[in-house]
Amino acid sequence: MDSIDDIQRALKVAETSSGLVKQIDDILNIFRPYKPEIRKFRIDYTDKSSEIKYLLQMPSGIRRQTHRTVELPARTGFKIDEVLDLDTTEMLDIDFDTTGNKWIVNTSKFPGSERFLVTLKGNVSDHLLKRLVSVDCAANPTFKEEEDFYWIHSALKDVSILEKLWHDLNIDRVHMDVRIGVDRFFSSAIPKDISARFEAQAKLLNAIASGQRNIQHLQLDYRRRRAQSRISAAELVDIFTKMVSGEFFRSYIQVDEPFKVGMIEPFRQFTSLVPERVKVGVRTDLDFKMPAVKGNLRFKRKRYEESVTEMIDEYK
Amino acid sequence: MSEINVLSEYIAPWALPKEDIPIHLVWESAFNFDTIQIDLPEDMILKEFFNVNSCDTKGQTINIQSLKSGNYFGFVTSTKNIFEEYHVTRDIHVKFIKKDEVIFTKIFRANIFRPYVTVQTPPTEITITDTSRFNDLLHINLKLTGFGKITLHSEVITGGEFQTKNAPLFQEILINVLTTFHDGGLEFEDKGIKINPEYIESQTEKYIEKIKMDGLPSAFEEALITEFRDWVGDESNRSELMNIVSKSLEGLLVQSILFHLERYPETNVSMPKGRPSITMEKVTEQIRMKFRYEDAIGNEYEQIPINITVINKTTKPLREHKIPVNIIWEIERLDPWRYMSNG
Repeated sequence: MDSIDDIQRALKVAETSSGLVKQIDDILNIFRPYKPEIRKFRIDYTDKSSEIKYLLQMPSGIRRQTHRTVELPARTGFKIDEVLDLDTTEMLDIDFDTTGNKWIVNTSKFPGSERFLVTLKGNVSDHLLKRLVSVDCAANPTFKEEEDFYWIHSALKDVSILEKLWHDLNIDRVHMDVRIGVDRFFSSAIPKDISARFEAQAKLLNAIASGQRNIQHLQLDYRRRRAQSRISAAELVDIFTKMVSGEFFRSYIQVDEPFKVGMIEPFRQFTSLVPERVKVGVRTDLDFKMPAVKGNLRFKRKRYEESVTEMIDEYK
Repeated sequence: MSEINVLSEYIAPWALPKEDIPIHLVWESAFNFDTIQIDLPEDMILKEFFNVNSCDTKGQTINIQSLKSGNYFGFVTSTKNIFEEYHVTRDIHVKFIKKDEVIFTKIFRANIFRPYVTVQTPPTEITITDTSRFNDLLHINLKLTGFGKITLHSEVITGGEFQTKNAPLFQEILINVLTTFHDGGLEFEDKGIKINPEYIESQTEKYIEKIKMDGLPSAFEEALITEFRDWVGDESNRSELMNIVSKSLEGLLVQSILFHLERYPETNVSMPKGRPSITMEKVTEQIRMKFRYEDAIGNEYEQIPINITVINKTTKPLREHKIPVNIIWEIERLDPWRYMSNG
């Protein structure tokens, strides 16, 4: 593993515009008395967080007495998450200053071991994530008999800054949203008799609202149609809402390895009560061994359409 | 010279005109080369590189001098324009060069598809008589072919005014509330509204605020509106008002569902303003209208103009009238997989 000087040389070469590089350099200076080595660097794309594991040498002799505390100012953008005693493999119970200004580790309270693995956690900006990773998916699906297909792709864009420092960079949970239009499934699933009844209901409402006097025929028409189909508008909207919930929608989605299905949430315009699209989150991990990944998201369209129709039929 | 061992290669299998097309190539690191040359077709542009450190460009040829790290590279490309054809292919040549010799070539084939809307036997005239049913007067047959979703907009240039609808939200609920206030209103089915009660409550609050602030529909008599305003302003009526508004949501849901049906009339077609209709104040001789459509990423395609001569055979003067435009859709979806299998 690189020594601190190697790392700092690499940092100088790296583009200094990256706030992350500056933050890491600051931390290295703070840990300098303990000969820090970076053991793992991980970025979580979904959380926009980063995690760095530093190996610190802290022999219980003179160095601990002259450097009793390690202070990590909040401005570094990182906080100490955990400290592992590598000799006993036990997690240390460490007190941190909680004032929010700095994170202080009192090394005199450390056990007699020599090597400790300190995990720091920090945030990563959207700007940096965009520089690191590319995500793309099809705007329109293609179809094969019963399924719709959306291509999905992700690749590391520019990891040179990070590769100079860490040989085992991981960018986890790289996330993208595939938008699946469900608008039409609801339109086509509403039986003609139900939409005719709603039309009769709307006509009657409008007639009353515009002060029409002769509305008996509209009332009659509405009552007749209501007798034929009992499902209410509220029940219909309720069915649609259920059918776009993540829990329900998930079983109609499949993604190719190494992608995984993440969060699923419905999307509708503020002005509409009927959902129009479902946002399906897709995740993958990227690293130097797998810098680019490809695949398809499959939506079981036919089965979904059948389920919508079945659910509406149950109410009739 | 070692041979390349490709670990992963990719080009997005289908795309719309101007849509981003990612491409990548990953190989085993033991492969030596000096430069990589990309030959892009004339009508394509390079939008972004993955893992490329330095390159130079001459026309549509890009020479990659060095990679930032490792044994992969990629880029994002797209076509510059939209096409006349439903489907076009473009070949992108990637060559690995060592000592001025091409040691490996990979051809990536891009498949570009577009949607297409045409009007089938456009109507040229309509005749208005004393017994005309305006709802049934104007029919236009549109055909959607090609690939992907479209959003259709309609405009009237002369001969009337296009009536655009907005989502039935405030106006509708207000009409319902006033109606209920006016004459006890409709008998709502008491099945209980099952949509999120918090949503109902927050919407109800919003409507009440708006009712207090905004103009009320002019269709109602002045005296009723004044009475209604006073009643709304009286805090002791609040719970009853809440009750009426939330009951009226049933009416709102009906409107919302009907509007949804108009907005999404066919597979792959959306009409954000619902079914269009033309409002004419007097009988004009010509209706000039046009349809515009765009694809899923906002590319606009050729406009479809429609000119209709209006023949007036009425014996009485006509008041303002509304002519709905009934669009009859024919959908013929192109199956991209048939075109891509040889790609």
